[in-house]
Amino acid sequence: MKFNKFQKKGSHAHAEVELPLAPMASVFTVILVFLIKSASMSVTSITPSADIDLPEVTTVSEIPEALKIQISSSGITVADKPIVEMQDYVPKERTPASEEFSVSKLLEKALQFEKGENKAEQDSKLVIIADKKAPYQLLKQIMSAAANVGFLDLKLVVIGGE
Amino acid sequence: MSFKSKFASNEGMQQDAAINIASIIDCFTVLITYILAAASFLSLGALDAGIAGTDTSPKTAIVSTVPVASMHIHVNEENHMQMNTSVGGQKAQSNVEMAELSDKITVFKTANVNLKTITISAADKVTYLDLVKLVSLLRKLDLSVVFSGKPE
Repeated sequence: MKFNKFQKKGSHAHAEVELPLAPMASVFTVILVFLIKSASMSVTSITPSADIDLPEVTTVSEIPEALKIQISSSGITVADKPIVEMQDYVPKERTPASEEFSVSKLLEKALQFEKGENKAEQDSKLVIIADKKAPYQLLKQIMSAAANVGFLDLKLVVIGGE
Repeated sequence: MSFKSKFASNEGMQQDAAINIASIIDCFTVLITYILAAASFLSLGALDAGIAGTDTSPKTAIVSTVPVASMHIHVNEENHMQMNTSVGGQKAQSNVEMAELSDKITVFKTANVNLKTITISAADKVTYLDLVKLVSLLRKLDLSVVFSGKPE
């Protein structure tokens, strides 16, 4: 009896319960537009290599579009091109041994080349992406090379926020 | 005639033409998930610094009654700092720790308003992290920083 009643009622009501998808689509559209916009707003695309552990500080400014130099324990790259190979920040000696080896000179040549390649785009800015354990001895050589080529304005990349 | 009849037949049909939103939502869900997964939540920034002894701009004589002040901070291997100051040719030297550096610089800066730039040098084994911390502190005090290869 009861079952009959149920059957009767069910067949009669048969109302379609629909999820209101239109507002959901609107919300999703807004989120999507916001995410795409915020992703494209970041001025420079900096992806430090996996072996670089950046230092963390507060109060930083935006990273400008400039020539990038990456310093990790395994080597130095200028504009993503490997220039010096290192082991624990110690440059590996080149062969033949008689050839005078200087990190500063190698970097100077690389920076000079990059500056010549992109003369219109580059100014005196140099973005330094270095591992937090990098010694000042190495940084000194890099700065010396940079200064000789005309890169006087350094931008030290760090993790941080305003 | 034909127009009227065509229209009339349309009225009679009265069909709901709805866009299939479910598939759009599926697509959006996938896109949002992908963008969120690909996004980097680390905010990278830059600290400004310069290199000492490379200013090639022509010098103009500035007549000022305020004595010229300069400051040089040298970080040694044990991360102790040596602060060398010069005010109107009068040189002074003192050892400072990171914790008290901010106060000492603020006092010096208040007394010497023309101090705008601080030169930094460090021992060979001082790490980049320690230097960045020092640069960050000086930038907070609204001072420009230049790196120097040798202690003064």
